Amino acid sequence: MLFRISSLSAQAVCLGALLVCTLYTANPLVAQTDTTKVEEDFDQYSQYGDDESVKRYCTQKVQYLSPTKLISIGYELQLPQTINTSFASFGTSTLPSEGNPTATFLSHGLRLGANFPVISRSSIIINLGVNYYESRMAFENQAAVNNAMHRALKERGLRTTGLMATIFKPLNEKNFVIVAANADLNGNYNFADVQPLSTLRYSILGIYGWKKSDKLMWGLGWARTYRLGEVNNTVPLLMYNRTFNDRWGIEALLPARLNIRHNFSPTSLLLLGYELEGNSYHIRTTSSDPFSQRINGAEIRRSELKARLTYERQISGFIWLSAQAGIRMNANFNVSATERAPRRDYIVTNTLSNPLFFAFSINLVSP
Amino acid sequence: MLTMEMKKWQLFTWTAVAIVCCYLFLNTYANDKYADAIIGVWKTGSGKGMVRIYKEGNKYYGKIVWLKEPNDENGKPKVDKNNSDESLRNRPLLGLVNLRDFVYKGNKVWEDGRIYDPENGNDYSCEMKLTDENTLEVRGYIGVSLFGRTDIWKRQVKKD
Repeated sequence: MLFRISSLSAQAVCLGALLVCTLYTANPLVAQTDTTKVEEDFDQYSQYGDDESVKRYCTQKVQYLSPTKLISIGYELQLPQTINTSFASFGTSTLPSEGNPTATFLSHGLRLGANFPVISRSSIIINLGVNYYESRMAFENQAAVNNAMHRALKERGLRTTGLMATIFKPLNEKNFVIVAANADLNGNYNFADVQPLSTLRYSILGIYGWKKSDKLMWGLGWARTYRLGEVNNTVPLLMYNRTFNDRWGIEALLPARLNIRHNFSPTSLLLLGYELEGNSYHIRTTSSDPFSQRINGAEIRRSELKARLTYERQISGFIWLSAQAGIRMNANFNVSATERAPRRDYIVTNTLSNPLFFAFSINLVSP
Repeated sequence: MLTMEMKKWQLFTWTAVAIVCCYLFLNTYANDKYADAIIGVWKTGSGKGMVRIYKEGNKYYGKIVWLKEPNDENGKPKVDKNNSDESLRNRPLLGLVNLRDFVYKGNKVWEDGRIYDPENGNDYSCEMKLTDENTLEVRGYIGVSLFGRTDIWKRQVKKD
């Protein structure tokens, strides 16, 4: 009897629950009224304001700025250039000849990059990225390349594989801070013989900035960079992104780069300017001759200025094409004995001619 | 004649069904309670515009109802000049429906929608999440949510 009553009670509860559940799940369907209104009186919204004390932040965008690249697959070609190499004195006269000091080579290689916004909020944006740049050096008359420096470049070229992190932290509606850090493996390695992690090169920058309007943001900062080739270069920075109108603007992070921008439309633009590129490359050689051994473990201090014209346009949706042409002017390609060697204390001096270069890339751009 | 064991199982079964029904009811109620919580006037993260979110059928939409700078350089009302469709470049920004087709998915999340950015003429996939009564996270993205950007919108109320 007890079980019978319990069973009936449970059934009653269950049916009741089903009924209530049905009524409530049906309720929204009944309540789905069309709340659309024709908002003709837009003036009323000027009387609206925040419901509570709200902290607002500036964005990192300036109107008509060239698009941020999330993924980039590119290729660069530098036309033939000559290299003239001179080894510093060994302090002994019993050495063999250092080989032909002059050679001509063509440099080319992939330039890949990916940049992911792992946190993207109004109050902070954190991007993590990877990049891979290579300079493969195809020498003319390869059989005649007998200089240890040229052989090292010919066999493996130069590579950069890096990780980067960028933080954009708006402090309020007018001020912001940018912190960025890079860790690069630079050298003449290949993927069967990856350079040891102990040869990582670090760069870092910090900027404090002002967002004056949707058309102007600028900032001052400091960077530890290898763009000038030498070790541990610290330089002041000036960031200046300005849009004068819907056609013209400036994008600058001095001294690293400066571009004058002309927007043909929201989906195509032209940039005229320069970029200073550079790094310190760890060199390894396996040859046993004294010149090769001299540069084994040494560092190429590379720094070059690229004056260039860049055309970017949307191909489809968020896929953009970038095409670039210009002249590459060498500033430094000399070799220091070690990464920590004093500045301008070179064991090899290289002089390069300044070739034309061309580059293109396919990019997935940010919303 | 039901045995004692069968009765026990019958009681257990009915009790389980009742618990499941109650759970479904509470869950449905809790979810649906917030479905319309997104309706209202919101200011974008940059503070340059207000969007009124409304409901049409089972879906949610938003239209631009206020602009900090409503006129262009020539003093004329701003139009959708960056639209890739030339025939739409003369439509006014004020009143433009820039949020479309959002569906409430529960847990204060609205998905499957699109957002249009008149500043560059791009149209993105979009999802929105109400993090508190007056804060809306609006994430526009390409393809997968990883490639996107989140903007924080704040609810606006009429001031006396």
